[in-house]
Amino acid sequence: MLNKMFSIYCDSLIEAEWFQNLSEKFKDSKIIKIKERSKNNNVIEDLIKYDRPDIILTKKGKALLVVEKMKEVPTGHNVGQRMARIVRASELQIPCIYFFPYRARKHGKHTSICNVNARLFFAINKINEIHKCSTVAVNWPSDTNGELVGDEKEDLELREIISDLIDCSFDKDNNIFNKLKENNAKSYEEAVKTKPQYSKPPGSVKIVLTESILNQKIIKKVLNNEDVKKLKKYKECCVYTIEMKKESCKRQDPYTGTQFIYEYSYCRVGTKVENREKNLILNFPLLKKEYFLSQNTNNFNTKSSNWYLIANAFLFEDGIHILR
Amino acid sequence: MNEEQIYIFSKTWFKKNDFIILGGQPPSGSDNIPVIEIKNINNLQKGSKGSYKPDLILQNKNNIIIAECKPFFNKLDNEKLNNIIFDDKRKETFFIELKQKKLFKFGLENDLNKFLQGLRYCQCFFGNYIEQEKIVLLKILDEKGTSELIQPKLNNFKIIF
Repeated sequence: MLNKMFSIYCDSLIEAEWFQNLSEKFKDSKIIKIKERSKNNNVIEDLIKYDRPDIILTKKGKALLVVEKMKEVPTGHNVGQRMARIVRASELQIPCIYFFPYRARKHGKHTSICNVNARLFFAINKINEIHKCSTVAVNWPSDTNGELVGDEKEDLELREIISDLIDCSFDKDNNIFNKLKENNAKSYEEAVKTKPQYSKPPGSVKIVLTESILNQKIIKKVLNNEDVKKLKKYKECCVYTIEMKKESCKRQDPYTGTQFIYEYSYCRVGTKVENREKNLILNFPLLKKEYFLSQNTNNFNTKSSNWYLIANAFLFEDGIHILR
Repeated sequence: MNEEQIYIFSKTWFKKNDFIILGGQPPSGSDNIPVIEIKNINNLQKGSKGSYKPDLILQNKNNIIIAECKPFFNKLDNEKLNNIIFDDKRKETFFIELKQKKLFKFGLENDLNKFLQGLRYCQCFFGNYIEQEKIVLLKILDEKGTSELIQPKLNNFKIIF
């Protein structure tokens, strides 16, 4: 009867069925589809505030674990797409497992084996440090040709982890998580040895003096003293350039997820958005302010509100919008 | 019943009946199996345009099955499968795709003729249906996943267990 108390909330029944099969103890668990925002119970609503994770495991109305599963290697454009869900779990002190391939073949005309962008491990590590939580990456193995293992052997490590977690009642401070965090740290170090550029920000991110932003002619013209004071609170800015065009600027993915990688890697020092050492500036050089704001409103019921979660300001072709 | 349920019940039925799942593409979310593309013969070099990604691809010792899953018996799925039945070149590109991805079991990768002879087609669904000459039907009967296999009329299109 105890087993029946587990509930698996999911976005897709296929993922729920996969998760349920990871442990005999989930056999009789209830599978429930996550509904649209504002139509779920409070525990689920809280967890989906930024985005919807693949799996939320609950027991007696309490969230125990969030699982995010991805078949693609987090690289290129996709590195941070799912970060908002992971950060939300950490903010709420819910352990999170992010299951994805560290290395796999990308198919298509120019097929090749890709490796995970190690900045992801760095950001996850910082999220854990700051929120004192347990988000861990687990590798979906691939064969020598880079093809993903798909004969259920890929789940062996996860099965063991889940079994141990059930035994320790999903305690976020358990040794299992500590061991996995160490593994993630090692994965980062190894990746940086091969590709030292992962220890620095990518081309789309620049760390600049706040003064240099304030000295831009167009900015000087539009900012009042109050806004200047807000930005000057931090000596430096992490400027994340997003080259969205007018025709395609009503969107969030992958940018609103990726912003969390840069927020935690370079700006944030505490659990609250105001606990930071740098401004996070989202820079849209190809967009006009009014147009972007009209297309991406801060409406809590839509994901476009994620643009407004952590940035200090938006920078546009024709001006600036101060958020905090 | 929805498409995801039909997909899950069909997969479970085939597994219980000693089939190995080689690949497929679920209707939503992601499954752990490889996605297989049956490319359009006129567009082999240009990405995925016109290619067909079956919901499930299964193999036992005698047959390889291309299966499509829908909540109801679906005419478009029926057309999709019939298009493959009558297109030998696409069957060959399908063979090459499975071989390149090293997905074949039981040594079938070296025998195109045996592959072609053993190729079968299946529609998985809930509710009413039209009996088929060449397509196997897997009818899902209830929310528990109870299923009934309806073999096609022509003998050389029947699944051999």
